[in-house]
Amino acid sequence: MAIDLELPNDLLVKILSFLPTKVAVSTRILSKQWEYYSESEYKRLKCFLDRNLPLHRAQVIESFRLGFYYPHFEPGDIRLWVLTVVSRYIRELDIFYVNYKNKQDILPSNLYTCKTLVTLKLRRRILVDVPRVVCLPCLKTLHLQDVRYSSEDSLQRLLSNCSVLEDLLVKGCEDDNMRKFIVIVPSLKRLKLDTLYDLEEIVIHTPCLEYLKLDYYSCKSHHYLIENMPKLREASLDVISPVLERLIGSITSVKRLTLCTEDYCLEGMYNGDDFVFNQLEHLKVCKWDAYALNMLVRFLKYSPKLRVLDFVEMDEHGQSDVIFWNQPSTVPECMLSSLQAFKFSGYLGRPEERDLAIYILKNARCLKTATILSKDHLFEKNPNMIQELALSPRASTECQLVFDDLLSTSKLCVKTLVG
Amino acid sequence: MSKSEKKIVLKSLDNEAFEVEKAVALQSQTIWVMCEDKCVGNEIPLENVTGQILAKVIDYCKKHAVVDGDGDESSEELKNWDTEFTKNMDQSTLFNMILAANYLNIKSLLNLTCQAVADKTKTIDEFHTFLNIENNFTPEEEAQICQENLWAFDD
Repeated sequence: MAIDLELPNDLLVKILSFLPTKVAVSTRILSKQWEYYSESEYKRLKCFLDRNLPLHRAQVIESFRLGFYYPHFEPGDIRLWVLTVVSRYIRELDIFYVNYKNKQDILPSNLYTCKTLVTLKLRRRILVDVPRVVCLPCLKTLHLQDVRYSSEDSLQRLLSNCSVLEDLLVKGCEDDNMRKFIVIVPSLKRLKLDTLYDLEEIVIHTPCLEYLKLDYYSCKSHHYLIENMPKLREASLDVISPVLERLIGSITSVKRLTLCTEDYCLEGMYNGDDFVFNQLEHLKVCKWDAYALNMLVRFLKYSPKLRVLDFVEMDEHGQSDVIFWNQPSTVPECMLSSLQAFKFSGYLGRPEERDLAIYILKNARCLKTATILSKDHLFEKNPNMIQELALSPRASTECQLVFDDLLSTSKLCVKTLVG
Repeated sequence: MSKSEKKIVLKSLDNEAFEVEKAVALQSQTIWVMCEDKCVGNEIPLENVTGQILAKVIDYCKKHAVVDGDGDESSEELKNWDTEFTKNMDQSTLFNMILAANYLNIKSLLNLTCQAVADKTKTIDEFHTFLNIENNFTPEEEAQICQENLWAFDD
């Protein structure tokens, strides 16, 4: 219902003040006349911080988190606050700052020698200008998302004296000046690198690493060295790179692995011998092309303990491509003794998909569940798709076959139960 | 004090007269000031409020005056009454109630009605339609603001 009545601004603002903060902030795009609402809030905040931070007399500041954007604060304001909290023995510092006009130089150099800092999270175009002397003896968690580095060895220098660092997240962005990714941190347990931009060098020397996530697309060939990581338990690779195969060769100790890879610019296949995943129990594959299928055959062959095989939904089914699925010549060990669960999301019933599913049903002796998920009521429209799998021979008598074609991304409801 | 002095007549925009206890009417700061100044007689003209809205405002004031007086009713019960009171009001009534509460300066009623509007509008689009506000940003400006505000939705 549209009405002619208009409320005066002060009453509109009053209504806004009853909204949860997140909703209130999003209402900034209501109308230009509303902008001053948040403006005045920020002025009050600045006033509060300017006056009260220096008066803070506690022995330690446990946590200081800021989320700002232009035009409400100048870099100098934030720099001053950070300077203050660092001198007050800060433990956790988390800053999100966007200022399109000015260079976001907000980190004072005393931050890099803070003896108490345990967690440091910096996001959005903040300038990381690391001085020559760095010492962060308590730093355990370091997250650098979309920051800019003053020189190409800034990151390396920052990491050079963090003797207890356990968790590192680096997300690259355009013009961030990160040319090399060199991480030599013996204490590191979790590492995430996410960048779409070319690197000249990747060196990872982290003998205690337990979790690795790499999201890296670059066909540029570069210097590459990843040392053995015997404690690595879980890895997730969303990678396009000439050195992909070597990368896979260096993570063979994992128990859980997620692979989203393409052979787009591969420099050569690795030969089988080094490709043994003795610990691997859970494999997730999220691409469906000739390379992924080829890779799958290798994984089946060289992962004797594989328990769960999971095809997560793939968007980019090239409808025209016919992919040949080359069955292993002998039945792999995991099929005979360990594979218990098989899940195929985004099943469209194409010949190679059907062949793969039938092959697994036919050969996996310990299989307990096979879940075939499709969408758009595909099974309802083509009952044959269920029939051809339900009637195919099964090596495991206990195996339960579950079909569902109502899948929306988050919901799963079992529709038909056969067998 | 004679009986007539305890009562007061409120006259709406459309000339509807309401005789109410003084204690009920004085919850309005505006009326309170008028009575203090002795600038009006026993009949107070309210030029911004229609009879339909004024009747509702008086209902609210009566309820709250009683509760403040004897303290028998729990605050919980009063809260429930408030919720019921605004629950079925349509948009135009709510807006008029806000304007009336603002004009009469009844703080608790203003809070209640503003909260009711806030509860009924949770998204930006709802705000635009419900509050009758024109979105005068260009798509570029809007995108820029969304980008700047991403932090609010991060993590």
